[in-house]
Amino acid sequence: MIDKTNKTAPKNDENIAMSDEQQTIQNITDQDYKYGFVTDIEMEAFPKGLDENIVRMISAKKNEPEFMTEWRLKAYRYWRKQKEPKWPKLEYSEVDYEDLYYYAAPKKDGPKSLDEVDPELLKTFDKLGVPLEERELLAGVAVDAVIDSVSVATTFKDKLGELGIIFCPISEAIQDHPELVKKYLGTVVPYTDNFYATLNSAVFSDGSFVYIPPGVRCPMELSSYFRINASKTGQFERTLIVADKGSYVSYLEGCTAPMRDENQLHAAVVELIALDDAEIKYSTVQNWYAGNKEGVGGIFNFVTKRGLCGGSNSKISWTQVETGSAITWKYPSCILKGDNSVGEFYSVALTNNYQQADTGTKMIHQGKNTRSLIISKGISAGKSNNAYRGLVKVNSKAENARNYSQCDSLLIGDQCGAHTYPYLEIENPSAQVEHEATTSKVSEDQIFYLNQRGISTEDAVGMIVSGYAREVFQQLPMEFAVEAQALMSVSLEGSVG
Amino acid sequence: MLSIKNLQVSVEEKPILKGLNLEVKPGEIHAIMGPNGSGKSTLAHVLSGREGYQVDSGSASYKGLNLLEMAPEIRAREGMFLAFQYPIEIPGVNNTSFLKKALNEIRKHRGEEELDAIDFLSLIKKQMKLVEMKEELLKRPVNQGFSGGEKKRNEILQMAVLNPTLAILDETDSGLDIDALRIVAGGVNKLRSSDNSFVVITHYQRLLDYIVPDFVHVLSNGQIIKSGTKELALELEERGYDWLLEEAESKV
Amino acid sequence: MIQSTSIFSEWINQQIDSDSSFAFSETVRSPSLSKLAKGVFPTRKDEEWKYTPLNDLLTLRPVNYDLGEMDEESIQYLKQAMPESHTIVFVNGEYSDAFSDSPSAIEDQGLSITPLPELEGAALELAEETILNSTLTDDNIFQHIALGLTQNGLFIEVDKNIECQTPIHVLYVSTAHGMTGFTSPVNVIRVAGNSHLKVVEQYASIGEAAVITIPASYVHVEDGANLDYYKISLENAGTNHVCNTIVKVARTGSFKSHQYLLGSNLTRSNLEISFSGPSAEAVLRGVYLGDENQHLDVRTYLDHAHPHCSSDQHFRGILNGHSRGVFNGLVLVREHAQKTDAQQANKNLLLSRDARVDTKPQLEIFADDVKCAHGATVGELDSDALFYLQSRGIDKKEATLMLTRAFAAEVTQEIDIDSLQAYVQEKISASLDEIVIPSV
Repeated sequence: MIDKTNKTAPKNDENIAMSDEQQTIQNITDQDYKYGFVTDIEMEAFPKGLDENIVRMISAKKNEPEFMTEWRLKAYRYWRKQKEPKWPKLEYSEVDYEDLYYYAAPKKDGPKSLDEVDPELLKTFDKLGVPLEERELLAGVAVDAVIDSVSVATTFKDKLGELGIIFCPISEAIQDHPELVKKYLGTVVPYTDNFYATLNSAVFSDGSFVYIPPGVRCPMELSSYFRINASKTGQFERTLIVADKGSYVSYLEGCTAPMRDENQLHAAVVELIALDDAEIKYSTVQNWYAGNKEGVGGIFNFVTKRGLCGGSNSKISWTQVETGSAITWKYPSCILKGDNSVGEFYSVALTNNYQQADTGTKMIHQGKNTRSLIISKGISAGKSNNAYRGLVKVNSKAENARNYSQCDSLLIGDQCGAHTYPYLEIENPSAQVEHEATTSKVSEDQIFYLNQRGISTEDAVGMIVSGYAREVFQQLPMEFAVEAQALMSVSLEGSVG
Repeated sequence: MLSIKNLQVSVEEKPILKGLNLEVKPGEIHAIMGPNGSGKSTLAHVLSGREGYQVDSGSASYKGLNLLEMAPEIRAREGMFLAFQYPIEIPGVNNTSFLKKALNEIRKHRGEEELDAIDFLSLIKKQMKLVEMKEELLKRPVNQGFSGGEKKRNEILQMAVLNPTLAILDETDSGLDIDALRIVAGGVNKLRSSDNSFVVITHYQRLLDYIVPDFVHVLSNGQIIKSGTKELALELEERGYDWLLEEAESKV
Repeated sequence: MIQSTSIFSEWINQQIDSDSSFAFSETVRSPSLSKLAKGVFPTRKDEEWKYTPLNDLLTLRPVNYDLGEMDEESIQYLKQAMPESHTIVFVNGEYSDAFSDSPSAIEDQGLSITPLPELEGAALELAEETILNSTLTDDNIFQHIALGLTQNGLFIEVDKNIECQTPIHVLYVSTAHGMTGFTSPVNVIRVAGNSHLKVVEQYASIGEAAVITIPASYVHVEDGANLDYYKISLENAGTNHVCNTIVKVARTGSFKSHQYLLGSNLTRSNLEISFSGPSAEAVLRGVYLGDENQHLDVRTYLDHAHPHCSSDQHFRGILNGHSRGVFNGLVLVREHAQKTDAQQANKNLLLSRDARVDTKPQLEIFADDVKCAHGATVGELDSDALFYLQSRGIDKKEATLMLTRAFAAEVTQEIDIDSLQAYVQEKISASLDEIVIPSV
């Protein structure tokens, strides 16, 4: 999906580069979900359903130390006592948790290098636009690719290793760095947090682990592509990123899934921890299968993402572009515990056809002089519903907290819904908190103007929508922005006249 | 180039154009003048394919093609350009990337190779000098935060880059001070050639001091009531429209 | 919701079983009584009551009390807000002949004001029809207390094409000392086509009794009609005030509301407005001012179901001491309600360390060609402005008062009855005067 013409574009001229993005958008004209194929590789799966035994089997399969098994079991037992939450703005058929596989992995043992990776799998990544070798060479991106549950390839490990950076599947980290995992896992999202996070804690199969040592600036974007493959497999990734004092890391997460008629559950947990003076930038492009035009099929995406600005002057920045999934339920949040810490949330959420998205953030101000910024751009088309739900909380001890939130909605057509539910809970008088929201539509005048310059209606809508979401795209690394805009254009196809 | 025969157009059942005839040949500049409400802007919009206009009868052909059946973007790709009376603002969409996209769509349509970033940049920088436009305006969103004059110059810049065969200028002079008017007109004059044609719609004669037309037509109540050369425009300047309107009425 | 076995609900049951004469017929009462029999109170698990606990309210016990006397002096004092009006007075929930202007004194033809107990025949039917045509989205027990148990209240009706010159001033006064019961007056207001009316509802207490006031108002503004509807609540600090106002505005009708919530221990105001035709408008203004342990909760619900309607909300909160303010506003724009213009603003000023604000301005939009925006802010006084005033020789307390008064005045200045504007501003100033400068 990387636009090859980028390489010839002068790097110092952003405008020109942006125009290539438009070109990329133009290149994508498939009407159907592009990634709707099923990889034919041998799968190994446990029996359907969930009990203590399955939890133990997952843990045993991964040779986990005792503390992990115990932690999983505690989560499992807790989960059994919980009820699935009912969300006010989401409608969906219930998930039958006994009819899911909780573990599925490619049968072969994990590969040591790219050469050992199943060629079939590599082809899958190719189709997804994650050509590992090419990326490695051209873009300087290290990729930790997850297919269904187990990480199959990790690149640039050696180079990162020299700096003391740990970037590996979390299953590997549990074995190789148990002290780090034990110290941080579940500290931001405890296993009691919510129904889905609890389930994840019990059965998580794999995910990424990142540790940046003190004072180290990670020299490249770390990237992981998630993908749901096996039928009826719940996907439960667990990601843990720790940025030690004075360090910096930018992490990219991309998601695609093949077409399925049955709804699939995805309940990931991401925990970020930034210590003193550390910064974590976490970017997501999510385009999981959203179901067909009649709203059949698609992923249920119930994700818990939370960052802890634990140290003073720390910063966590979430950027997300959400175009996929039948249902998205996701609130990447920041706990601003350290003094002078900063939390940011930039979001584009696009829904079309019968998609439902309920997404936003929570900014919890606890330390002094903490700041947060929320930029949310919702785009609703077709018969979809798109809600921003966010909380800004200033605790009584959080002196001089500052928050600014801008939550805009763009409607395309008169069959969709756009909703804004901000919660502002302020307990300290020195806080300055400001929330604004507006609603707009893609105007016929704008479309005609672009038509008159030779641009088709579909492209015109893509351009207008990309322009509307520009503030968020600017937060993404260049090539991710290209992909994100392309995905938006694909997602909007057929939404206008 | 452009041939309009007995064109009748209505908006929400109300007739606006009532049998309009116009022939434009390559290399010609036609000025269409007329009082407010005579149907000038309707003509521009119908020719460029704006929705909301009902063609009741008549025809319009462009380069031998049935213009009225073509989608607006196809008309544009076939070399028709409308300089808008009120250019539209498009937040967040970069002016340069927009124009590059438009140019490459047109080039693709013609079977030409698309321009890469470097060639495009040199083209646009050259054409910007024509309209004396500040380079920073290229980095801004389309027409957003532009002054009235900057918007009109941006229209002419787009015209210069897209190099149309038929350009319709819809009251491009409205709201321009004399310097801006001179610059805009200068741009048009530099683009003139024996291959391309212009239809200049204006209320006032002053634009025609700078863009000298081959023919002047007076539009009134949906019809062209008089055609002549540039002297007609001067006469209108001197005597106003009333005598012509009376003359036209007495003929009925 | 929980099944409540609180003292309050026992008390409600006693009321249901009493042989008092209730204002409405069984048609209106039965559905409410069956809800009351279940005695279910909202809890903080109900999204609409997330920030407002009712625990204190539910443990209140009515004991012996002493109904104080209402005297001419007190009435004159309370009337100063509206010296030129037609005044109706209720004392401890009862319509007061003695203090109210006589119905024959109404100068405007086509305007009729009837205390509920006197309502009968077609007029009673019309009042009940108005109620039955209104539905609350927040179906809480308080409106059922009002409908099922009220013995008093007013029906105000204006015929078509009447420009009512004299505003109506409705005073609900509690004079009791000691613990006392609750009052749940119901006001029904109908303004027929192209008529114009101004109504001021004022809630006040002379005594110190811990009254629970549970008013419900049902308002119909018909085609092309205008209603200016003011509500001033300034009861004593022992009072709890939970009111529901349900408004329907028909084609090209206009409803303007001002709410000044300045008293009580707990105040919950629920204002729901729906448009039943195109091109109607609603303008909502309000100030809530809290000190000590006051809890003030404003909920608004704007239902845009028809095209070309506009709504404009502006609420301001000033919170001092340990007080807590809540704003919970929802604008719903339904499918086909194209060209809706809905604006919603909520600004809050925190004057003390222990004050807090929870605000939740919400938009739910199902139509694309609309202009909707909302904004909410929370903060303290601008320190630059404070310093500027101090540098001109004004002491800090006075500067704080000036700026806070100015903050409220941005809303109160829109009151277009001069005497009422002066009254409200003076009451706000008087409350602010007691402000202890926060130790900054």
